[in-house]
Amino acid sequence: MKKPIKKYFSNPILLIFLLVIIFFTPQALFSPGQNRDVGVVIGVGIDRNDDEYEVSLLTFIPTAQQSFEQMNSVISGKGDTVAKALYNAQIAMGRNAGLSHAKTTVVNQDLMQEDVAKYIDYLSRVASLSENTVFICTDKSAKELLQASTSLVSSVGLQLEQVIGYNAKNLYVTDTSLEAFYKGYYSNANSSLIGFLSVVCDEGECQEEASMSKQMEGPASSESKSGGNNIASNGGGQGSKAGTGSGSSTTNSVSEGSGGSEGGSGGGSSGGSGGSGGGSEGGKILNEGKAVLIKNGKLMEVLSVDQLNGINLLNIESLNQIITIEDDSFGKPFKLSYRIKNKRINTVTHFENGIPVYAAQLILGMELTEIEGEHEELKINTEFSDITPSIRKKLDYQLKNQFTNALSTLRKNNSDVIGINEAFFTFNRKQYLKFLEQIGGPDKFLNFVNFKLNFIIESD
Amino acid sequence: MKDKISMRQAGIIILFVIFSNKILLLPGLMYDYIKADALFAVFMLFLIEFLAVPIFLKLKSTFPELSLKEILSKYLTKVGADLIYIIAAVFMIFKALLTFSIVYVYFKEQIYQSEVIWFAFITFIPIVNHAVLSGIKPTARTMEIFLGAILIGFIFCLSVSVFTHISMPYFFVSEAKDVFFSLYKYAFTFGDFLFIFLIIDRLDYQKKEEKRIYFYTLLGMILVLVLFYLFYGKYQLTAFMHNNALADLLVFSVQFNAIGRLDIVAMLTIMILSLFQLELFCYGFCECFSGLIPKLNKKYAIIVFDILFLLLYYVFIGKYEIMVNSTVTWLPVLGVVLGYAFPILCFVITLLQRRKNEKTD
Repeated sequence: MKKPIKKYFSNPILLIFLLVIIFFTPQALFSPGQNRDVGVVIGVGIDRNDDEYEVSLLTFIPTAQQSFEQMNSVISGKGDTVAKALYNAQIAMGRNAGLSHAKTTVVNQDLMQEDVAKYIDYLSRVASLSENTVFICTDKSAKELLQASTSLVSSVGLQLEQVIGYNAKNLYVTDTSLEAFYKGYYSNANSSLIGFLSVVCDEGECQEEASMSKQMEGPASSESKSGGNNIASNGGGQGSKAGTGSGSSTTNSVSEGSGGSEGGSGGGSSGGSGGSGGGSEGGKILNEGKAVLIKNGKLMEVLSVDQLNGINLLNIESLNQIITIEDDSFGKPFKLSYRIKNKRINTVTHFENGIPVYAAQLILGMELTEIEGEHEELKINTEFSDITPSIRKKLDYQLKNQFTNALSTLRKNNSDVIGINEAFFTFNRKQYLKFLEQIGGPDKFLNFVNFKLNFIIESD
Repeated sequence: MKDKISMRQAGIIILFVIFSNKILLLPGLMYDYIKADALFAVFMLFLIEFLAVPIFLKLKSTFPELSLKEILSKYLTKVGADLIYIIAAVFMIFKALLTFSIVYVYFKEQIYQSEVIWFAFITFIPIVNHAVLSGIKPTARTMEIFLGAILIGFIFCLSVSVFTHISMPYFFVSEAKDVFFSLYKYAFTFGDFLFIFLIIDRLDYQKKEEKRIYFYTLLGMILVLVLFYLFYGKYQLTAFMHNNALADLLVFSVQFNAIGRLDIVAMLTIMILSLFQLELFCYGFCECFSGLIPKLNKKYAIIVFDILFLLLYYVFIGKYEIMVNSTVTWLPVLGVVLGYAFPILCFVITLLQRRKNEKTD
């Protein structure tokens, strides 16, 4: 017995190992679980009302249950800076905010009247907000959107980033993460595109909620302005019956029921400064496929689906777009809907007499998907899917028109989100840089580019 | 043969030191200065470093049994050799500090946000000390065992990024003078080949196995260049915002959001790799110390290393920015002396010795 002990103690590394175990094991055993100190934040929202910021945290509190049920709640804090507001939200939550799992970041439209990067910068650089978080703009308040998303999760299991993820894949055809925003922000054109979701309320719902929330936060706002932070946490109000109501919906909206009567405007009413919580899920998320055009971090315009489709005509990954025309080639007037099934694009950039020219040949494989009108006499067969010269002409006109409209929007806002600057920089760098010197920078470059689009429409 | 490493093990050591300080912070830092043209600068820096391989092998074949101190003393007198050893010791300890601080900041950001620095010290220093006390052979053998895991982890990080959107970085956007100045500016982050010179007498030299050294050197350099290329291709204009290149190739992509913390692979790779690099730099320092004061054995060298390491850490890394800033302000002087001038010196010594041998013959 003596021998092995002596042997062990003659080896310094074993001694050190033993010391480490002696010192750290009890500490590790008696220290509380990390979820007692850190709240898992899965969504962040930033609002600005007057001179005050409100940071809302969509939190997920892990609890041991036999069946998996994700309990989310929205907790917010106000302050005169984003850092202060986040600090207050953390106090309201009673935990540090762990932002590295935040998959969605929402900002409201008002906040984007100024360079949004300076608000987000704090969160991404200091507060460890991951850059792969999906960046969304909303028309009302980010807090309302997050609140509405809680019922979306509990009723249909749909996460906010999944809703916008569909748009990103099929409509924007670009990544709309914070990283993508920064890429656009630091590009020559300083322009980016991010997702847009609206919050709609049933009659009286939002006003009621707003007035209730005002009552709760009434003293808070004034205190937080004066720098007070005696916040009472009142989070965790999402009831299990939340979000089960029947949703009124438009054709392209993700809408949620006005459930949550028991989820309620959760939490205590002992409002201190800044904090509010719980989920009064009055609002519904409306996804119309819109996106926000950003220049230098500021919102320039909210783009419609048509405008997005126009912008994405030059994007080879953008497919399935529906083009509808009216035609009477088959005797009677019909509304014909064609889907872009496949796409090939050949582009050339060059300078003609000192003018930049972007020439593109788009070979579109189009499929007839719907005929609207009285077509009992028509035989729907392969013959019918042939594209007649008249249809081809109309489709060509429609596509060119769509692109022209989208281009004029981009030109109006000096925002190049279709990579024209990059294309010229890559292929005609010398002439491009010389041209930029003449026009005083890349901002207005898009306005000087001559686009020559040639559509070759084939039936598919 | 006691405590001698094989040519393969020497190659693996070179591979590990080539990775040091280049796979996390450096790509972003260099992008901030010369954009994607950093790739050319790294290529040139590697070219210089690669030229040290034949010089090292020639030196070894010319002086098969002598230590570096003995070789240098022969031609530069004892004072000259001591001076080089002092510079090398400073170089090694700052290399260790830089490696430790970058890795510490990385892990603190990622997982150990509430941990204190002592936790990192306790994790690293005893293992590093033990490795140095054990000698170069067991350390090299351990590296040999972990080589596969590290290469798999490294290549996994690179290959995952291929599945995200990668585009050709914009080259030739910086001025040529900036690119060439970066050869000086980032010299401290390179010049790691010095380590193998310090242990020249511990190498069991086999002429026919020289190709192994070339193979691992090239492998390390190619992997780092691929990392730079993929990193710049993936992040382009925002590359300067990313301080953890290897790990950031795995995260920051919506495609892999569903998998969760995929960067755990990068974390493990970086953790093991950093540990070995610290061991090598500590070993290098102790070699220099023993060369300067031969009367004191390695235990004293380790104690000196630990004390200096902790003291310097509090002087520099207490302010991380100061440490990183030093690597591009005054520390490059060390890089130039040991990375560029030292191999040339060794080359001259080899030539002189050969001429001497020819005369004797």
